[in-house]
Amino acid sequence: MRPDAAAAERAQAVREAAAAWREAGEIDEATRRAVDERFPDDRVRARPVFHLLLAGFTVLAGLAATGLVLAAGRETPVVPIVLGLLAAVAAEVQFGPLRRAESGTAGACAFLAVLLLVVGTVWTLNRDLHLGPDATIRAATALVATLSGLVAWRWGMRAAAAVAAAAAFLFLAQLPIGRACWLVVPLVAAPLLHRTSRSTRLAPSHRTALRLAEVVALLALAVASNPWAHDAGFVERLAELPPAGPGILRTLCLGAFLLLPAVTLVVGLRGRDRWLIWTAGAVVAVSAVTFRHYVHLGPLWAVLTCAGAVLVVAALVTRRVLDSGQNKERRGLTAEPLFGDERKVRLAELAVSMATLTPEAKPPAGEPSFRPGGGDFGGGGASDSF
Amino acid sequence: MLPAEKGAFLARVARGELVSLRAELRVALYLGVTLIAGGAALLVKENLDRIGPLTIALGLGAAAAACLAWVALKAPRFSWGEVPSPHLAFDYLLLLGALLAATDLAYIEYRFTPLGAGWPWHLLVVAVFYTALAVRYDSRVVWSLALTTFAAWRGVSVRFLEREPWDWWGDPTVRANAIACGAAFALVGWLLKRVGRKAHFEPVAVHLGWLLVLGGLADGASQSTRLGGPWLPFTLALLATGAALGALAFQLGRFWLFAMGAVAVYWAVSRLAVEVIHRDTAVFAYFTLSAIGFVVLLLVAQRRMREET
Repeated sequence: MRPDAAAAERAQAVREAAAAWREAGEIDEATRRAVDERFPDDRVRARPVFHLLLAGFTVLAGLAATGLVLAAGRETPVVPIVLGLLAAVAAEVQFGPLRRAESGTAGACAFLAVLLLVVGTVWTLNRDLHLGPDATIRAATALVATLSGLVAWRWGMRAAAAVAAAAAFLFLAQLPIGRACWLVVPLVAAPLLHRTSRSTRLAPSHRTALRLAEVVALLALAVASNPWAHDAGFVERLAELPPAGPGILRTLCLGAFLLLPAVTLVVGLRGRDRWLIWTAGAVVAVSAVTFRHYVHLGPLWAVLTCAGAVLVVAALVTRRVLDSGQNKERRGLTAEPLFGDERKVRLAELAVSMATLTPEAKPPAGEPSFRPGGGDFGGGGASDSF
Repeated sequence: MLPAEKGAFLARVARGELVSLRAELRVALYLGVTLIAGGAALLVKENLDRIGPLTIALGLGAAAAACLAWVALKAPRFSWGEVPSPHLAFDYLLLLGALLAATDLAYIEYRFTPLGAGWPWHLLVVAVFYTALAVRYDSRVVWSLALTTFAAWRGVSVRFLEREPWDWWGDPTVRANAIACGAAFALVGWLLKRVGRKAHFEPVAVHLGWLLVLGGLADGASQSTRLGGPWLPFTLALLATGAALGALAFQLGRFWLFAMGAVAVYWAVSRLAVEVIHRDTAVFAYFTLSAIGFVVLLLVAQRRMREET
């Protein structure tokens, strides 16, 4: 990453923190302005909605341009490769001299570069080297991992790191010892990524990128060690290999399966690490579903209700425990709101509620179906739940 | 720049030495409530004959009443302004009580059929009930459910994720209802803000309203080849409405509304274009040039909006 881009990221992080403090009423407007002046932002940034729109339409333009050249009779892998290289140059110019960070167009160009270069290379390998499907998938996943990693490193695109890590694990799954790799690599990589991501010498985007890669590694470990995924041969199916079957590996998997949620949660809470806490939450949920798959605890309605009650009680107890500490905090954790944490959760609640808790609409006139009842997840009103 | 004590506190937060689990606890409560509501719905579905209708109705009613009673006890005094939640669990027990009550009402309607052929009216009752709860206890989530339940009463489903993008509503009556509901929601939102009563409910109503209006028009504009419907008037209406919304949102500095209007305009123009362009190269050329043009327009609009807000 260019040093000026890294410096701009650090300044932006301070400005964002000051904006959150201002919103929470911790500082006044004059102080916020003083912070902004002391940490000026020389980058062109788009608001989230413009970011989305600009990225979407840039990708549309790039793909349509590729289609145009191909449809004009030049059906050769050179086309996507050349256009991919052009997209990479466009991204470099935007992230560099034009200083367009988080602008939508620059990130979209980086995405197009990876996509088109992978398509062009795989096309070439298939056409000229006549690689089989297995080798093609290996080449594609290795290339995606490498290019996405480069994008994350050069331009500080955080999501590219997650794509790179996921592609790397897909590549490992193609190997004959794929499952073993999914078990061993995260055990080595996750602590390393965790430690490195805490280094203040790294740019903020690089730190986040490493955190995302760590989360992907832990999720891969969770999948590989999951008995259900083991018995179904989930990892092996990615390479069209037969399931591993029972044996020492399954026993090791079971051990990792039992330990992983607890270890992740404990490390997350002790380190006040929200990434790990969220990952632990996801792993615990998957573990609970897996447990229910093998051990019949009771009817599904009872399991759902009890799980919901446990979550509610656990949340309330946690809050009470944290509130009872000195200054309403324990070991650096608090249940009090701090600077803008809740807004995103509230927005997500609204969106999820409208998408899932809304009752099914009444059928148009002429359709006789009468389907009253609760929504799929308790939304009152007409649906087919009863 | 900052007083020492405050600076020390902010520095602790910035260094990650003090972390709030508020968001995580809220997510846990939300998931817990939805799981309980889902479990209750499943209980009713799987045990219709075994438990007995009266037991189910009374059980659900009692659970809903318990939740709402706790909410009523904890609730602060009513205000037309924004009221902070008195307890972390307040919003979620309110939501659970509302969902259980609505499930109970739907079950009673299904089992005892008090409304007979007019059973969809119970959706209106639920929508009014949700509205009352949302206004009294200042819940935006319940307010959003009130709006979507009202739309469901008119046959409009907002479960977009469960449907193909080109088949949201299909039926002309439902499409018309979607547009009418959307316009009504946008109007309600505008009124709330204008009179200063629950003005913070306005964004939900206005965004959902315009989504329904533009979605209904886009749905109509997409029908031509499959149903032979009047796609052209819908397309022109989508173009005009999107342009008007975009212009209005541009003046008001409402970024998301501007985006919705802009996408609607692009959709309508593209709909017209693909109707007259048939060669592959021409279609690709159109999307290449139009997308680049749109990116340029967005960049200009973004700069102007930033300058004006």
